[in-house]
Order: sequence, then structure tokens, then C-alpha cells
Amino acid sequence: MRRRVALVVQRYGLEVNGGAELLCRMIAERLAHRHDIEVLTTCAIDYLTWENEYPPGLSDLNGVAVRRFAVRHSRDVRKFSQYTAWLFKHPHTAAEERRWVDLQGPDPTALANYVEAYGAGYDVFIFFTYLYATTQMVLPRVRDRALLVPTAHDEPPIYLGIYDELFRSPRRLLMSTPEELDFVERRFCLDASASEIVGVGVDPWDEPAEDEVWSGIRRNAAGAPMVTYIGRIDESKGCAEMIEYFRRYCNDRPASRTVLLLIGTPAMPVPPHPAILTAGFVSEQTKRNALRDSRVIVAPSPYESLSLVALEAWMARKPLLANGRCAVLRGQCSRSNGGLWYSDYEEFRACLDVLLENDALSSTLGSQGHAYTVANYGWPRVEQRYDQLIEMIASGETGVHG
Amino acid sequence: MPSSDTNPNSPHLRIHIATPNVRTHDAIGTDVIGMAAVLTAAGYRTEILTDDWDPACVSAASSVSPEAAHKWRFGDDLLIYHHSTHWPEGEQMLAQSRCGVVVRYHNVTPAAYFEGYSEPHTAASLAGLAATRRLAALPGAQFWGDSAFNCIEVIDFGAPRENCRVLPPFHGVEAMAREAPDSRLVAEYHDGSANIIFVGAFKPNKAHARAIRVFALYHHCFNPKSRLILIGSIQAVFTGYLDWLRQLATAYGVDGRVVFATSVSRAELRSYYLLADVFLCVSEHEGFCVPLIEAMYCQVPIVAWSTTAVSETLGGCALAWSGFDEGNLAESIHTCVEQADLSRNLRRMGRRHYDSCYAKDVLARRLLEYTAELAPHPAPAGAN
Repeated sequence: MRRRVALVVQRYGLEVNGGAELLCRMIAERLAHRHDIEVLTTCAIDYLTWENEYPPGLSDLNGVAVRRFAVRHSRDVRKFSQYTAWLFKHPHTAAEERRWVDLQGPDPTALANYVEAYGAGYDVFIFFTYLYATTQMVLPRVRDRALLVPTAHDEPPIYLGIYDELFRSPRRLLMSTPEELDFVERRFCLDASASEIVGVGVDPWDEPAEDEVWSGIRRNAAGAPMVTYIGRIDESKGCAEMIEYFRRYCNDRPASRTVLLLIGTPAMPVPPHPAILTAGFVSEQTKRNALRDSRVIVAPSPYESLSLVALEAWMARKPLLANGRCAVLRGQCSRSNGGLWYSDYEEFRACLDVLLENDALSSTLGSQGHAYTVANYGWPRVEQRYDQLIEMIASGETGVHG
Repeated sequence: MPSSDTNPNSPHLRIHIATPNVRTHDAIGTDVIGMAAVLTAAGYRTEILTDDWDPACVSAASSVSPEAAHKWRFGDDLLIYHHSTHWPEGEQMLAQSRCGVVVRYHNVTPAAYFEGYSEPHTAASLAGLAATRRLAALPGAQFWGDSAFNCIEVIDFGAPRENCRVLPPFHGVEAMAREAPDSRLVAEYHDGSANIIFVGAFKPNKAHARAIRVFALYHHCFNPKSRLILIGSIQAVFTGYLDWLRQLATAYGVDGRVVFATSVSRAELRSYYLLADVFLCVSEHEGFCVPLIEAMYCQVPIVAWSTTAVSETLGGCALAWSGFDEGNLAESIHTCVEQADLSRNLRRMGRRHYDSCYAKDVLARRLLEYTAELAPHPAPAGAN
């Protein structure tokens, strides 16, 4: 049955790069074929500032209705950083944790007011990401109709007490990986009926057409083997360590000619280095060209709830080089046999040596990753489960954890 | 005129719960309060009899002094007598009572554990054991043990087997788990090291020394990025025991990797469970061991030495060994830390076992079932 479903997320748009936001957009575009989907979000693109960049109001993106709300104030980065440093090292109250959420942003006032006034018109709410005020402040108002896709991982904020109540509020928690499920169940002492793994689907691999941006990047690489990172270039994503490791690798292996290609919006300064290329935010087509032509895709983040880039790499039959300190990445590599993982520089170097020098092994890893992704990340199963959960909540069934 | 065996105020049965004391976060106090709440909610007129109670956890209690004897001498009433130590005033009350009696047996730690550490504890333990023998011989008494292990003890002392029931203790596990974690502790110990924890008062029967030996083997042979966190309250008389444990940690080369957390809040306790990779229990004597079910609820995999009531409480949801072997136990810790699938299965089994055997509603059902065997007519709501 066609239902009216609101997806609530902190940012939404083609210009937004962030795993949870992309996951939300993928789900929205799929569900829009069978339900009246409306995305409730802010006007922000940049999570560091929450500046209003999109116009407020209703618009359409790839067939999905998007209702944007302006934030009243942007993030005071300095104040937020100082408060964060204090909060995580000192005893504090719930009120101080709520102040931290306020300082983190985005300001959810307009979105919350809208839900207060018009929320009754939606059958189901699906919230993406536990972390931000858009979920923290709005979900409790519609908890009996709410699903939460927490995209949770083991990071300092998740230990804040304010999230205990949040994770016990929705009708069900939808996880992306067994590691995320394990972690959330333990962190919040939830029994097995509160959550399940739904995950995500991936599209079949289509050979991308050549494009000018990619041609330019390839010219700059001058035929050198490319090790590629795709995502926000951010210290919290493990990029600083990855860059440092790669610089050391270039020193240790001066004959390798390998280049590190960084694709994504920089949120940290990238030190100049002749073997490090930065491409900035690129189109989907350019990204697929990069996946096709790279030798290795690197996933350096210590914090992940699911690596979509890993799945994309495997769809392109490329091996993954992952940060083994991230349980999710290690689990994805281990289950798929599609990649190697490192926990320090020596392991990084050894893994990269093998992946660059042993074509047969790299190819096997890529193929194994591909087979695993095709077998486990099909859209039909994901869509079917979302449909079931939407129907169960909308029809008032009690089968969903409440 | 009502007879002296009939409650003059009500035709309905009253339940008196007698205990030497009720203190905040004390295991027996929590059991007393939990029982009283369930029985009251079911319509029984219930009161707590004690002369030592913390107003923070009990709003009202009646005295056990002889002057208050009229309160518990009525024949229809039921007296639930909590026993874990020698309590002369309580036994005097029992001797005079004509109520139906249930001895709620929480176990008495054998005196041998305290010899050389504390003469008062040794004497109290011997006196407690003698009291258990006397209580086991009480004519017509029923016995509710925290565990089958406890029931067997009173049966061995002469209690009729058919009068014994197993009722795990009421506890505050879920309330503890609702506490917000302590950010400072999380920041300090969430550092990539494997955290092995044990929770239990610093008393010799808990065998902390064995835990240190097992951990030292694990630390040196399997995982140098590890620490043992021993969490528990300590009485002044056992500071020598604690000093000895510290020396032992040094002797085994793990000083600095063993944390002695002797005074923890509930939020801190919650945080330790959150930080734990493994709960290690090598305690030598337990009548139930509430921390085991705390670990189950908080989904911490358990590695244990199956002594006394430990195996029964675990219900097969742990890597448990019937013999004490440091190598086996250390390797079991290693397996839990390294094998995510096994760890996940243990966590889930533990939580399921908790939900089916130790959840509040499960305990409440069992208490009411046992109570109904003895006192089938709770007062209607509002009856005085």
C-alpha cells in the first residue's frame, strides 16, 4: 500500500558528500517508486558550518520531494571544538550534553516546528544518523512512527547519556553491518528484537564513458598506478594517517611511481607532495572512471558503520586496502575476501606492496569482493524490508519493537 | 474476640520481610526491596522488618524488637526471613513467631576464607553457618534459595527437599544499565586495549589472586595490549588483602596493567561493563553472583571457573571450565577477544538467558507462584 513517508536527515543533495546522507538519498530514490516520499532536511551542504546554501521550501531532486528548512545560526567551530574537548574528559550533566548537541548543530528548530504542526500527515518517519539534532530533537516527537537508521560506530559522542533514550525510542533500528548491530546492542543493552540488519543495495556496474575531468586527472597521473581514496578528506576519516603512510611509502619505495588520488571535498589541508593528486568533489561519472582505472581503493577511516566505497570498489572488481582498526571495514574485508587491512605503517606498506606487485592476487580479491557484493547487496531485499516495516507501522501492527 | 492467632485488623494475610539491614545498592537489600514491591503490587499487605535501614531506599520499616512482636505473631501471616549472617534478634523473633516461615537463603561465605585476614569475619561466618544449621531444622519452614546450590546446602543440613525452591535474587541490573556512561572513564580506558573485568567485593573468597594469575598469562602470552580491571567495594579490614593483590600484580609483571577500582558509582560500573571485552570470574565461592547477570544483561562475554553456584547462574552461556587451569582460562579470554562470531554468540546467549531467567517479570512470576503455595489470598487492592 502506498504510504506517506518522511525521511529526516541533516543534509541532502547531490553536492553533499557524506556516507549517511548518500545512504538516505539512495533509499529515498528507491522508495519513491512505491511511496509518497518527502525528505525533511536543512538548507546546509557543509556540516562544519551548517550555512544555509540551498533555498528553503519544497523542491524536487531525482523524483523525490525535498522540504528544506533554514538553520538560524551556523556552527561556531572554535566554541564547539573547545566544548567537545571539555565534555569528553569531564563529568557532566545531561543538560551539558544537550548543549553540546546544540553547539554541534544543525539548528533543528524550523524542522521540529514543522513536524510538530504537520507530522500527523505522515504515516512513517525514517531518521538517518543518530548524531545530529535533527534526529535527537525530532525523533522523540514521533517515536511511535519512527524507524532509525543510526549509521552508528564506536566514536566518543555515542557514549553520551542523551543517546540512551534516543536509541530506545524508535519502533526499530535498521543497521548496515553485523559490526554496527553488535556495537549498538552492547552500547545500549538492547535485546535482539530491537534491531536488524537491512543495509543497502548497490547498482550493477556500468562501464563509464570517458569525461574531460577524468582525462585531466589521468594526464596528471602520467600513467602511474593509482591508489585512490574517495570521500570527505578529513582527519576524522583517517586521511591524515593515510597521507602520512603514503608519504613514507614513497620514501621507502622510490621506484614504485605510485600516486595517491584523493577524490572528495577537503576538510583538512592536504600537504603538497608530487605523488599525491587531489581532484576535489567530482561527478558520479568521474568517480566511476576513477574506480575503473585505479589499482587499489583505500579505505582509511577508523569509524565506519558501512563503507559504501568498499562496495563500489568491489563492483568495479578492485581490491580494498582498509584500516584494520575499524571493525566494520575489517568485517567487510573478512566476509568478502575482497581486501587486505592494516593496523600500522609496516602493514600498510606490506599490503600495498602485495596489491601493486601481485596482479593475480589483486584481481582475485577484486573478483571475490564483486561476487560477495552482488550476492549480499541487492536492492530487492532491501526495498522489500523497508516496505514491510513501513506497512507494519502505518497499519498499526505491533510486530515491530515499540 | 479475635484469637491471638488472627490478625485483628484484617481478615487478609500479611507478609513480613525480615532482614538485618537494608542499605542502598546492597545485594540483599535490593532483593528485599524487589520482593516487597512485587508482593505489594500483587495485593499482599507487605512490610519490611528491620532495625537498620537506609531511608534512601526504604520509606518505612518496622522494628524486630520484642516490643513489636504483636506485628508478626498472627497465624495467617507469612514471614520471609532473609538469611546470610548470624542475626540473633531475627532468630529470637523467629522463635516467638507463629507465622508461616520462609527462609530466604543467600548463602554464608565459609569462614576459611577469612582466617588470617579478619577475626570478626571468621567468627561471623562460623556463627552464620551455625545459624544456617538451626534454620534448616525449623519445623515447617520453607526455603527459597538464590540458587540450587544454596538449596542443597540447607538440604544437607536437614531441610526437607520438598520445602525448597530456587528463586534468583531481585536485582538492580536494568537500572544500573540505564545509567549514562561516565565519559571520563570511557576516554581513559577505551584506548584499543582489551579490557578484562571482574566485579566483586575485595574479599578472599572472590579469588582475585587467581584472576591476576590468569590475566598475567593472557597479557604475556597472548595480548600485551590488555588490562585487568578489578571492581569492588572494600572494607577497611581487607586493605591488607588488597595490598597483597597489588604486590602479586607486580610479581607477575602486570603492575600498571591491573586497575583496582575500589569505590565506583553506578554510572562508573555501567561504564566498566561497556568497556569490557571479557568478564572473567574465577571466584571460589558464590551463592549466586549477581555480577554474572549484570555481564549477561550488558552483553559482555563471560569466561569463568565453574565453582559453587557459578555454573548454575551461567546456564551454559559462557566459556566455563570445571577445573582451574590458567592456560585454559587465558586462552578462552584470547578466543573471546579475537573471534568476533564467538563473542557475539556468547553475548546473545547471555542476554537471552538473562531475559528468560533473571528479568524482573520472570522473577516476579516465580515469587508470586511460590507465595501462592503458602498464602493463596492476597488482600484486594485498597484493603488495610
